[in-house]
Amino acid sequence: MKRSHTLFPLMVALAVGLCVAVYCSVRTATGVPAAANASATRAGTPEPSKLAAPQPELAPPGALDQRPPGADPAAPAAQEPVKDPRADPEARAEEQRKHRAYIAGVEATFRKEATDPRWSSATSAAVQAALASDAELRPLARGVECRARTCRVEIADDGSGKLGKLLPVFAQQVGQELPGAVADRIEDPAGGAKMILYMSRRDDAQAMTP
Amino acid sequence: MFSKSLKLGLLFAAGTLATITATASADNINTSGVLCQNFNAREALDIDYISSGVRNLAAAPRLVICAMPRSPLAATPFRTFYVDGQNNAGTATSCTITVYSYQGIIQSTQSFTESAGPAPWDHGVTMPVVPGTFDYASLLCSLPANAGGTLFGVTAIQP
Repeated sequence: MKRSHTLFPLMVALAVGLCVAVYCSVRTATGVPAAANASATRAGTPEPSKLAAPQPELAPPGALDQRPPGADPAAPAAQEPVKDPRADPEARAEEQRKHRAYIAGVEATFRKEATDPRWSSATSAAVQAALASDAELRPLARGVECRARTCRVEIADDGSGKLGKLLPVFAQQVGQELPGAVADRIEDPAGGAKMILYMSRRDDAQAMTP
Repeated sequence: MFSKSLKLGLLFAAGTLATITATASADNINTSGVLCQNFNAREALDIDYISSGVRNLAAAPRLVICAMPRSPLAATPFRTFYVDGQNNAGTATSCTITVYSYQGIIQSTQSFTESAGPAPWDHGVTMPVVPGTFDYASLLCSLPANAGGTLFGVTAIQP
């Protein structure tokens, strides 16, 4: 009896503290999304994701976002616990499997793309010129293939980290004609690796930037 | 009996609190252009900082690279960024956002060019692919010569 008298004030204090914590958490959880939405659409600036679904021809439906088909690509999906692939081998394997499936879809879509001889020739020349303009990038270029709105660019990766310096500059050089790029790094069992870039042309809606 | 009920109540409250905490969202992250740096080591002295961002004092365009902080708190990462800046008449600023994995491998890039307008520009960028939760992002911009443009900063939109 005496012991429960001692515990009672402590329990009450803990309960009050928990109630305050719960109240604060609820306020925070409901306030954040509203703030996020407010800044997602700036004054006079249409949200870019509403302007266009970027490169719809580049990726198969659903693969672009690695989300189920039919999902709004711009809308956040349902909250799921995130497994850390850096520490969890299963999560890492799953991530790699999804990436491979996604890239396979991009490659398949590119192969199905019809060829526009005029655009293909002009864009291919521009990409070749950009590759050739950099003395370090030139010897690494392995091939350029352009269709009607996508170019597949193959570049050797010696693993030195050089591409981390060269690729963003190259992407910027051809950015007027091919603003979006998806990259895939393929290890060669015989040694070395190559980077495949699927670079897509500007679509009409994306050109409508404010 | 009373003490037992109180304990049960406390356990219930703690469980509720844990559930609410698990669904917390991430905030948008605004990063000032003053955090940008020269992309090429030899051009360090050409890059100038003002209270509202970064600019280039050299007589030719110069590249700057900027960190784009994003939070892995969001269970579903967003792929939208906003880049803000200003250009004087006759000048242009070209930028490329690069998303790369936690293993340092480039995943995607998106480029754009802005030029002088009646007001500073505010460019929304949607990446071709939704970045992974643990991916990083960086912004590479070519700033016009002679302080012809200023890069104010970048915002990572997060649900």
